[in-house]
Amino acid sequence: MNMNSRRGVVIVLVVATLTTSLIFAAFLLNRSIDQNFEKIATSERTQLELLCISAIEAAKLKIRAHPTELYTAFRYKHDVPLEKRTEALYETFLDDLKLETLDNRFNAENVGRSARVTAIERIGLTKRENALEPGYTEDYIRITAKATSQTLQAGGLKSDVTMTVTIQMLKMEDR
Amino acid sequence: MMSCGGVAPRRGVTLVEVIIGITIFAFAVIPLVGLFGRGTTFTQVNADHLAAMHSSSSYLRALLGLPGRDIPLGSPVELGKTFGSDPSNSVHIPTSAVINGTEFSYRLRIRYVTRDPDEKDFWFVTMPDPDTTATLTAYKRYFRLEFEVSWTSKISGNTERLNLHVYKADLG
Repeated sequence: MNMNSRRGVVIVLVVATLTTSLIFAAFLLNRSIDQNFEKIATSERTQLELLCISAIEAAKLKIRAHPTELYTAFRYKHDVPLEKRTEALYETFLDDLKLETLDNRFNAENVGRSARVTAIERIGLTKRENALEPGYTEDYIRITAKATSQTLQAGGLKSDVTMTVTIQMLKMEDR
Repeated sequence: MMSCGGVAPRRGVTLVEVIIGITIFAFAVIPLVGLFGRGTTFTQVNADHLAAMHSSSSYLRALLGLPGRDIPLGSPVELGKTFGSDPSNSVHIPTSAVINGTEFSYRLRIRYVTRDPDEKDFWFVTMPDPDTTATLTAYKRYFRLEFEVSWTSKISGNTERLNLHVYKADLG
């Protein structure tokens, strides 16, 4: 092997070693950044889960304060004759069940976050023979809340948290 | 290299080439070893962060389980005692705790939530009939609980802080 070809082999080896090292270093660095981001995302998800629970707590409080309005909303949404049916009452009931509305300091303290109740459903009363009239006796409802963080979405990670909680409510209208 | 007496030429590397090769290899490997070291540091930092998050979340969930009358109000609430009038449903929150050799300090703040700018009221909007809007106040029935954990990282020496908060309805 002459001197030139040996020099070529050395150059190739050096370039290959440096390239491999750089690729490996980039891989490790990327993992490190991902881990750090995941750390932030995990605590953000925990916070969003707590905000979901908070919205559900607000829904419980409102239902406790306004049981008749909720069931009137259900009746107008599902049970009244078609020509009188409307979702306006239901939408109004849900409309202020969002933390940015309920707490006047929420937006200042939670930049990029929002949390709201997305649905309140009655379950177990889908059959007409379950006596929707004159009122409800015992009834389960399902409350769904959703919290989002726009900060993380902008960072490339979607972190919507949705949780469903079923609580038992007692309809007082006919008692 | 010339062959001599029919013996195949023997190729080899000189000492200088070996030293150069080792030097190049060392230059490539030293930063990688440094990255491994950083990985260990990150692991410790993450462990502290997770411990802070779990303790914060755990105390907030325990407070959520208390009846409204047992929720202490204050900014901050005095810690180092047990909250809850029912011994079977109570939570002790210390002022600090040592987890995996790191000392975590706790701070709890609880206030009533208000929705008007004067911070005097809290109400819900409903529609008892189509096109008829009504409100009902629920003032002092909705709490905001904020739990802060702070600690000094053993690795970096920096003071870290983690805040979690939750809202709770006083359902009586």
